[in-house]
Amino acid sequence: MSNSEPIFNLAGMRSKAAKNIYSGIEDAKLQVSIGMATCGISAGAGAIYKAIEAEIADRDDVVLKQVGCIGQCHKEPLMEITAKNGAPYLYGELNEKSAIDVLRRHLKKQPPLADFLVDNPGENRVTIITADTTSPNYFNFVKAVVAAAELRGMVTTEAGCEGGCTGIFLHISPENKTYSVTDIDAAVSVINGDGEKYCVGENSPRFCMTQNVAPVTGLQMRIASRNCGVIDPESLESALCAYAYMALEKAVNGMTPDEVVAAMQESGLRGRGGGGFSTGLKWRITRDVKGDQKYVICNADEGDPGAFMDRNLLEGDPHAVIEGLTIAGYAIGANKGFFYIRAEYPLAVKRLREAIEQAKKAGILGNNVMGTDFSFEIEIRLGAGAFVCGEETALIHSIEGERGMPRPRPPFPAEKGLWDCPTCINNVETLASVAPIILNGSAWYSGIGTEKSKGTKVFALAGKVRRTGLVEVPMGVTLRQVIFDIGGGIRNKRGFKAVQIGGPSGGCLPESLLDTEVDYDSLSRAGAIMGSGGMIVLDEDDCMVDVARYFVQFTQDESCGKCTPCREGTKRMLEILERITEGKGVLNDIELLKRLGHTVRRASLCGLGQTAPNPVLSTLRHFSQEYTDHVTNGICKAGMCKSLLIFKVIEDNCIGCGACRRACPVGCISGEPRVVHNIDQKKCIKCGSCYRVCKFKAISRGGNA
Amino acid sequence: MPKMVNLIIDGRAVQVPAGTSIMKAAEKIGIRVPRLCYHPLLSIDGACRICVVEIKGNPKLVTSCSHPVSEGIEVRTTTPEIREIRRDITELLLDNHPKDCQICERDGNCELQRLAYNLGVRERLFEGERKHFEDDYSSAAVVRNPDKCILCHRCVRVCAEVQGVTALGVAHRGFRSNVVPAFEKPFSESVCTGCGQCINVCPTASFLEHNRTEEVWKALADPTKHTIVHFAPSVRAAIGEGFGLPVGGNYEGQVVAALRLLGFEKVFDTQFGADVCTFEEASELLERLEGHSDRPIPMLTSCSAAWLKFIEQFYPDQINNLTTVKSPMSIVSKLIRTYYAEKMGWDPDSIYVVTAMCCTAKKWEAARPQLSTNGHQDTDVVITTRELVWMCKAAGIYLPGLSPEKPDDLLGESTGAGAIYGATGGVMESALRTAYNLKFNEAPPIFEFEDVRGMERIREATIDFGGTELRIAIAHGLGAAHKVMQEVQSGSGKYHYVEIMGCPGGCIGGGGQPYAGANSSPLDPEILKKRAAVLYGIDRDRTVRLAHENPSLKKLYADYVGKPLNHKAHELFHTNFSAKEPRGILPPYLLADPIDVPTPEGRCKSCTGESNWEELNKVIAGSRNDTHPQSSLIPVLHQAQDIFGYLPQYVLDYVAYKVGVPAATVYGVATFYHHFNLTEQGKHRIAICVGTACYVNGAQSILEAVAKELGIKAGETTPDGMFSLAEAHCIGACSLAPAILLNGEVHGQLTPEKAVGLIQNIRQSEVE
Repeated sequence: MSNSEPIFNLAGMRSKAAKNIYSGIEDAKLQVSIGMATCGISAGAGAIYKAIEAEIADRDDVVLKQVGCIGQCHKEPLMEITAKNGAPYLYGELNEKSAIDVLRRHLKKQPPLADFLVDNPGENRVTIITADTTSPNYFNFVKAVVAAAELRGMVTTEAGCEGGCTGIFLHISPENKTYSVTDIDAAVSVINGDGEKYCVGENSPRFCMTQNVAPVTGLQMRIASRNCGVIDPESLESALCAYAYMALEKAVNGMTPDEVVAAMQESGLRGRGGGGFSTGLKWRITRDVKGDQKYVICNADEGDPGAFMDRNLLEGDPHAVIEGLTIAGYAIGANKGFFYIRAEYPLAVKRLREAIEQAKKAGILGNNVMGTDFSFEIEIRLGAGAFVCGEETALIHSIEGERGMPRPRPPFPAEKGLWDCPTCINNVETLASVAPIILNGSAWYSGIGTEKSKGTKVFALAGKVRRTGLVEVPMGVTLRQVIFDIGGGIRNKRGFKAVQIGGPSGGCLPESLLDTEVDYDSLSRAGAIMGSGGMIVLDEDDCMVDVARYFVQFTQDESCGKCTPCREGTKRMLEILERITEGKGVLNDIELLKRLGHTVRRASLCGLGQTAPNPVLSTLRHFSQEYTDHVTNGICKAGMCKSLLIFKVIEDNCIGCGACRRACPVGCISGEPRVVHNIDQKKCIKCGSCYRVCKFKAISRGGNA
Repeated sequence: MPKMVNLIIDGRAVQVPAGTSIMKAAEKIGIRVPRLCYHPLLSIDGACRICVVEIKGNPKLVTSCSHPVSEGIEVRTTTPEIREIRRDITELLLDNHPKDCQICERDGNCELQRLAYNLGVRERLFEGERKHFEDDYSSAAVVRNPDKCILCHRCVRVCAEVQGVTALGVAHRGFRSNVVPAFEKPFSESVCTGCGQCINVCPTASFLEHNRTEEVWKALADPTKHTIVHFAPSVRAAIGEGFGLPVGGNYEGQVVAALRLLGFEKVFDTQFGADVCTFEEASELLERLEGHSDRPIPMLTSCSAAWLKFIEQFYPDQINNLTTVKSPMSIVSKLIRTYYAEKMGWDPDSIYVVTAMCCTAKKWEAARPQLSTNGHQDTDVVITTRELVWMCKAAGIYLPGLSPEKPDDLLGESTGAGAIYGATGGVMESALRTAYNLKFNEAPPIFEFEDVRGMERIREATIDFGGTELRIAIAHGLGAAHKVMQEVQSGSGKYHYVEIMGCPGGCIGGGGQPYAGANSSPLDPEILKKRAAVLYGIDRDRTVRLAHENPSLKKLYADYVGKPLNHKAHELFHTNFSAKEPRGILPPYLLADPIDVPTPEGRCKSCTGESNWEELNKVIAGSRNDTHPQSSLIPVLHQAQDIFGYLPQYVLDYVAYKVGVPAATVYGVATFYHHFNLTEQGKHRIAICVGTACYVNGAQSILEAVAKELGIKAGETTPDGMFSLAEAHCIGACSLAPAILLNGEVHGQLTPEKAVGLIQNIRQSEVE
């Protein structure tokens, strides 16, 4: 760097970025953003983006941009439209044609196409607009607004701002007025209709990007995912406007590494990859170990089947994670960081790679970070399809070019990690939470959550829940709130059966435990684990024995094969579960499962094996009747275990309508019209088509007993 | 003085240096925590989990082999829980192990069997599927029986860490894990040197010598054959252990007696060959030192067979440094077929030569084409010490109880210098004695060169050789050989003469020696020292301690050979070497320019494209990591797969060579990660997501429907090369469940019918 160049100036970069973005949207009437994370793209967002791009090619009053995950994955592809100084609208399940229709109506100022609105919030609503959802007290503010709005029969929505404006604004529709409110009292008076003095009319905010325009429940709190769905993840300018790298600047210029570590320790943040070890303590230990060369690694090898938090964070806001990793490097004294990321996440890899390049060019990474003495390089390493590489020592072996097999600890990576150097490994979500803690202070963060579990947790909500997607909640909310209030409950009018938390390492909790609070200790007590954040909702059609079998099959497939209990023990557990689901189980099998489960849990080398029996042990604990049903009665009530199913016509109910006969794919149902039908058991493939189509409950699928 | 740590084990106070493992600390109070994968000379693996113990207040059990002591901890090595866990783990191993103990070579000598007995496995609770792999009899030296493998990884560790060969790696993963040579090729095509240390450390019978005793029995019963035997120095120093006797007994005369009882017509001593070897080798050393030879300095010994294969394949440029003298075994066998046959008037083809060796690699050496007479291999069959023990037991011969006898004349007499050949440094010591005598015409001032004795893996010394300095080095164990050879390769001129033995301890630690008994470890340096002491004792007790003063040797040279290094001596006692290019070094087809790769089934056109290789070279150069070369392996494999579409063997071989990682390791890495395809993939790739969200939404029925439509299972490719089908563990499209990846694109919210429709559309478009 030549002497004539000015020293690093983040504030200057940010205001320049804001100016650039503002100049692009200043004269626009509408801003359209399309969710372009993997889910969105695979649902067709890319084609919609192209269609809209073509549609607006010859006009300059519509601004189009891509954003990361908006959170409402069940409605992908998603598109948000915000009129200047108007309320935001979120549309879902679009295709190229309907997206253009939606846009055209906005341009003609016609009412929105209600069919495509996600959880149509209606016209009568309050929209909270802020650039910084992580600012202190924001969460309480949202809660108060939601409560006040509810009293007035209004729905609350929330919008993020990218324009660099400060403070919080409320937009009230259908009046279409914007108010600048600094505290809860002001907000309540605005909602109650006596807040004229706060009205800012046409002048501010300048333009807002929207986020999560579904009705706000006041339950979600976005810290790690603060910018997902708000910023353009491929633009450093966009990230800078959302306060990216301010925490890094604060750390490297205004704090000693020890102060950074202390702040992390005081914040109470615990590892979000599943282990729940204190992040600050991990940094402290790694910092205190003597060593000329140290490393920090971001563990982005998200392998839980049914979990996509890390992917969405990296796809939606890569700079947040890079910033966290760099702060970690500064704090522990490492000048080199690695991202270990799944090769199955090409978009996240691409965006991460670009973001690193952008940060390097801007002087944020590389030699002399932000003009200081601290230098930091980041290298990306791709995983290659091994779930066990989420384990620290396996991950290290993988970077070293070995088979990803764990080794006994101690020594812990903090003492002897990558190439035997002190190494600190943190998960994506953990690192994404670092910057707000540094900016807002540890007291703010430790004020969120429960006594022993601070802050927020991101969950990937999936399965049989109505609104699948990414949610971030403060620790301490209940499972019921997440599944029913945020997730909207079970879809297709089926009954809730269980929620599987923590993937292959976690457990299944029944309805009676739905009021369990989401925190590390409560979940462990209930027989599940916090895990990395996969939350799969199961309904009455899911067989818990089969779900246990599914997870053991997974761990068996993913076992590295090094230690005996995991390699051999999970194989035997799987064989027993297969016997049971095939109707060949005996009562003693349940005892064997418990005994093997104990040995595998207690004696396995690494976390994968130690937690592999959890899905089995938790279902044995909470759903033991289902096991007994399978083994002694030969019944699978959920109808999952085909070997146990016998489809029969209930003569009293059958009216001979022929629906089952027509639905049967193998033609094994016979019967004259209006005469009781018959199923040929020899030909039946137990697909369940007849059971599903019968409107007269005339098909039974009972067991062998 | 290291810091001392106090702890309590099973109620007893123990004080040990900081850093000691709990296992070692427990040994101090007489508790030998049950164990399996642990080996004192190898790195800590922590794989078997048998040695778990409990630390008060620690929520998890820890492996005592790996867990260091810390101040004040209270350890319990046996609790009801731990007993059950150890029992269950042992049963889990047994349940995936053949049920053929009674017909197994290691019956009664098997660590797994012993453990199962000790831990009380009396019934099988968890039995299920057993793994099955093919046995590998391809190697002349070592038989591989993977079904008996319990994946303790001792063989892999000894081969890499002690021997530096890395012929073995773990391939695949989970229940399919298997210890294999690179690419699961036959052992004979691998870099295996035949040293047999895998046999020594294997707790079961997963590795055995290639047993040839049946042929020996047959020959002994054949009246038309003169069945002759000679036996190596180290056999007499260890064979007692095979009969359950303590380590350290000398059974020289009893071995001779037992061999006669077995029916061998003549019993000779390989030590006679050692004396001849020394006479020739010392002469050659002087010739080289004095500059009368075109062969370079340092001179390297060549009598260890494993070492011979090692240098031929890993240091082919250095083979001229080897002394051209044959090994003692091959010298005696040659003399039986020539000198002795002539003396006796026997038809050489009627002679059947058996050698009893401490070594497994000698089985390979015996088959070297250079070591034959008129088309007949000089040594017909090599048996190990263990095989000899079995033969004795089968014949009801209790060898240690026999009265000692002397070997037969002409080739049976040996000096003390011949005996010490069996211990590391012995060849060097014998040669130095004789060389000194030959050069200065007087016996050396001392016979026992203390500098060359010992068990340190590499020993260097400068010997006062009649006023001039002779710089020597001794290495045993091939890992140590690597280090010495790097020095030799550097051309530093540091050494004049180097002795290298393939096995730790030299021949006494050979791969064919009796198994370690209960409560002791194979390769234990204490055992090796005691065996060596037997040989040094024989040396001290012999009246003749200079090889060339062996009376029978003098007669041989007077009657038959003439002088060392003359034409006749070369014909009989010298050999030549050839550089090898086995797998993992650089296959010949990859040396060709341009690279000429055979196309498998003529289909993979892309693999042969020159531009692909150029691109791969660029990738390898771009990923190069000088400090940690192996670190670039996985990035290179990723990109190689992008270039070639999959990772065929020749690409992996090439990457192994270029990145500098053993091929067995590269194969282990490539088969560990599911992302890497080792077989050619179809034109269209279908991955069915079976993540949890997809599973509960019906992924299984989609997989079944697609598999049925294509007529293949997950992991396979259709015969026409059109489709590959795979299972994917979560593609992250959970909100679109059930979803599949079709040529990298996500298709969500599928039904079996829709999924089949997608395939039919592709078929349709292919037709058009």
